[in-house]
Amino acid sequence: MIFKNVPHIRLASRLKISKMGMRAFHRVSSFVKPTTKMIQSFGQEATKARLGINEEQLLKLLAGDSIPVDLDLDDGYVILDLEKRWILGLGLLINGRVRSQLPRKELRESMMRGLSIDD
Amino acid sequence: MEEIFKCYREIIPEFGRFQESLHKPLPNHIRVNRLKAETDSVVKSMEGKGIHLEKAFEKHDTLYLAPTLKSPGNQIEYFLGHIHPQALTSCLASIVLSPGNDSYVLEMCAAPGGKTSHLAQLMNNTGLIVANELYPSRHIPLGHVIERLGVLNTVITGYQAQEFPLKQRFDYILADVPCSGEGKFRKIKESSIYNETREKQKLPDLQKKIILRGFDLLKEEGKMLYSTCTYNPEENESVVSFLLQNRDAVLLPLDAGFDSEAGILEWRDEKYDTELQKTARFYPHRINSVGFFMARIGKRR
Ligand SMILES: C[S@@+](CC[C@H](N)C(=O)[O-])C[C@H]1O[C@@H](n2cnc3c(N)ncnc32)[C@H](O)[C@@H]1O
Repeated sequence: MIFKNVPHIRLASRLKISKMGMRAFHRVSSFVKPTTKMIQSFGQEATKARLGINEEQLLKLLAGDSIPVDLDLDDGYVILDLEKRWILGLGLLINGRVRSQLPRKELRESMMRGLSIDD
Repeated sequence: MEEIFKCYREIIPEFGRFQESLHKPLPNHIRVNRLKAETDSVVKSMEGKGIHLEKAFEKHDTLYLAPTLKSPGNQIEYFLGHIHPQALTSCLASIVLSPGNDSYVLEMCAAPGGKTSHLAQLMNNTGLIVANELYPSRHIPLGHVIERLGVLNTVITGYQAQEFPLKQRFDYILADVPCSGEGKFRKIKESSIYNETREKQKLPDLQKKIILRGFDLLKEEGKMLYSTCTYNPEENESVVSFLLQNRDAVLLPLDAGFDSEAGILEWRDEKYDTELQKTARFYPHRINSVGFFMARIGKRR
């Protein structure tokens, strides 16, 4: 969980808390995977493992296809940056190809309609 | 034209215009989430898609009417947490409470989280908000809103607001209580009918308990906002009047920066203290949003 450490937290710890802050990681079998929301909030700070994609590539990813990338990166999660403008979430790089790890239900193809990305 | 909410004919000004407003759909209104995006770039990106945005509030550049926007939830800006669809009057509640940076805040009835996330935005993600919501099933949408909007200063609890533990005191409290929701009703289709539930009778009792508990949880210098989205005086002025009779509470001036009416001073056989004029009623024909009521409350010193 990501949570700002503030003095009030000592007071709040006397309450029965059901959820705190933003979930930062999911456990996927024996791995940990950063959450989309954490990447959206903090991905801007990342200097490595960032992959710029364009709208066409995003539509391919959303359709379930993989896209080839020419990046000097180890296999693993990459941060997907749409037109160097919007940090969307994660992709998974394996053997030079990236697949979407974006939440299917939340990011839909129809959201791309009318985007004027090239300005 | 069939009259709706006839019983309020005497207290709602320009009742004819009020009636007309109920036959128009509620306009889409969005809040730009400054925790994740800059207002200018969001406005530019949405207008670039042909979505017309009208600034709703001169003093706040994050609130926009979006008359042509059909489904805000189907925009990439929604997925990214850059915008949140939220009624204008609902946004005004957090603005009127206006908690400062680093304060300790309680939202007593918090789901689905529009106001909690707006409070976090006004606090620049500093301090701490306790977002309380009785029903665990409503913690899920509340958690989603908080996460999507990049809120980092909030914890969720599940107490009955009227029994929230008295172990500590808060700088700011929002009591946005469960209410009959009359202010949201619009007669868009022939079939839309405002159905009064049996629950409505029980609400004032619960609201009175919640307002007292909220007041007891305030620090000496603390400020509380009591709000509903109903026209019903029994859920509004009567509840605030009950607080004034039972605690050393004072009503503070309230300037939302929008056209509102002062609270009423009598309803049926009840008369209220003139202080109640400091509360505010927002009507759809004046502000083109959800009907709303607010009272800003402090401690007598
Ligand atoms: C008017 S809504 C709050 C809206 C919320 N403040 C927002 O801006 O998104 C009232 C909420 O109070 C919850 N509720 C009902 N009874 C409650 C109680 N006794 N204690 C705490 N919450 C309660 C309801 O489930 C509902 O989510």
